[in-house]
Amino acid sequence: MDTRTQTPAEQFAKPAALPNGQLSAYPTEGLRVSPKRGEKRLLCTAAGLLWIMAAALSFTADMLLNGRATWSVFVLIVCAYGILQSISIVSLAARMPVLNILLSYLLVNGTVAAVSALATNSARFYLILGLPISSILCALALATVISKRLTRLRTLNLAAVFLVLTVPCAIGMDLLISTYIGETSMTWSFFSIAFCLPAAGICVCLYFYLRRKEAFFHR
Amino acid sequence: MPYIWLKLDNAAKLYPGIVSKRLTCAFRFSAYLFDEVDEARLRRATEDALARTPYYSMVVRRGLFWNYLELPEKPKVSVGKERPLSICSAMGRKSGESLIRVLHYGRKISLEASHILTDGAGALALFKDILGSYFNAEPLPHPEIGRADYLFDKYAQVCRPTAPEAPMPAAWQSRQKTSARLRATSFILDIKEVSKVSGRIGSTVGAYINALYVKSLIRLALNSPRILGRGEEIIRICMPIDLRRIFRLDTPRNFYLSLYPKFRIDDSLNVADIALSTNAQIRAMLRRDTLNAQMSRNLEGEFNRAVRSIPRAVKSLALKVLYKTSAMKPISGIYSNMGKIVLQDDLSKKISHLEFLPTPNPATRTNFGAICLGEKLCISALSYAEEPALENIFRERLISEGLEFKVYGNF
Repeated sequence: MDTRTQTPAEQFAKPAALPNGQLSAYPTEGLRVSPKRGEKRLLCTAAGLLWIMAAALSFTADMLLNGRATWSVFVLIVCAYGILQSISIVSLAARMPVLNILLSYLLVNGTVAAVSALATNSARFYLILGLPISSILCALALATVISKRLTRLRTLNLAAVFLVLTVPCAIGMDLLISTYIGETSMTWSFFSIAFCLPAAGICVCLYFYLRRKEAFFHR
Repeated sequence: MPYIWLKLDNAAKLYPGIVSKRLTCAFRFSAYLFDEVDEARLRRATEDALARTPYYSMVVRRGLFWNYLELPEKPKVSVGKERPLSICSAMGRKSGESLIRVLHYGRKISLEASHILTDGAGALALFKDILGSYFNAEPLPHPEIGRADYLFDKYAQVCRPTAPEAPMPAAWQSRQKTSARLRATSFILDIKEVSKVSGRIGSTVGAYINALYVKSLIRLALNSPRILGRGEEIIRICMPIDLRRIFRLDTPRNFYLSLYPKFRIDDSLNVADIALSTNAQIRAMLRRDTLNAQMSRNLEGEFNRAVRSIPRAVKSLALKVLYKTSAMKPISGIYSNMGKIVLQDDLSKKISHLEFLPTPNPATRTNFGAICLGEKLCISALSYAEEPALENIFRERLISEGLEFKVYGNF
């Protein structure tokens, strides 16, 4: 076989099944191979779980504040929409990088939110809530994509960094909007804290568990 | 691309712990061409060679208990112009750092590699491949990467050591004042002439060069003050040998063993005596059972459960202290002989000569390396000593042996 045409992965990962299910090119101990496709699936499952978490948080908050489901119904609809999107990401994950998919979806969602706001004649709601959130998430995804190309940091680490950075951005923007419309309290940025910090933690955990777990802890 | 990682091999486990600015654990191969080097072409050749053998693109990472090698998504190997006074500088001190670098300067192409990744023979295989790609020659057959790991472990299992080895007593070491920069000195000789002289005394060329080195060390030792009774009556040379030739296997990983022939510091010993003694000692040390016992002994620490459970940071610190306080004490110098190199097709005609600079070591001050291509034998000395005393003695020794040579260096 002409080795010039083989990629590094092909040279390393000769399909020799081991009893523990790992792929190995080595007869005795084997190379540790973590298929990226599995990683993407897990990432998308995690994204789906985060949507459910956001929905559960909103619903609980609404029930505690109002005693019945009011605004959280909209959140539930958005979350259901998000879960559908997470599922569709799984099918696209094999063909496109996850971050590119994420960026495309955020742009689509921003447009959907804008169209919905205009269609339901609630542009003010969209301007003070939908637009800032969409902008922050798009900027976050875009910054992650660019940083991925410019730095040596891994995607999940970058995502975690930006998720953490989103929190002060969201609080700042929330305060700015509140001041602009005459209020002095924070509203939706609490949700960004509740969402972003656990999401960043999950990203870091995924990073270690998926990529380096075995290598990092080997003895 | 799948995530790929490897445990470090037995020999390499030591190096990430001890590597420092001075003890760089790196060595260099250089090829002197007849024409100026084209950087773009060299870059392409390096990329081609690395694509064929991705093992060499691996970087070192810090684990909780051990360091390990990881294949990065994009190779981080640097190809660039050689900086003056920068020889065999350390690699692998930072996590994720590449363990090889390709350099060029004028008509010279160099490959520097860290012992964390590979040994001399492994790096030489890559260097040949880069040169082959540079001159568009047919690529050489590559070692099967799949068999690369744990060869050392596998062959060490054949014979377990029956008794623990007694620690080696200290040997004479040069106390020359050290300098911050490395000095490389190379002697180019005609291999036919050297073969004729070594053949006259019934020795191999490798043992003969070692004898010249040892004789120069003896002269240096006799010229400098010694404290007798503290092991300063002997000179012990560390000679790495390529286990691939013995076990008839090919691997890009470290697969070598160090042998330690020793010699009395006695001016009455002539070059022929030392050369024949080298041959006899090496032959005795290369017996299969002795070799296997030594390999098994080297592995014992690694297999020890208590050692395995110690966090890497603690292990590294302990290794650094042990290496500085005791590991280098019994060694007076390092002599690494790469032997006669055969290049594919007619590449030899496009290369003036090869040069091999061994791993620098501040404890031994001056180490020697030898490599031969075609008619030209290149003996190189890499030294931390401020004054080139040993090199001067070696040069005089060559003259007294009646050998013609050319000498050059970075001084």
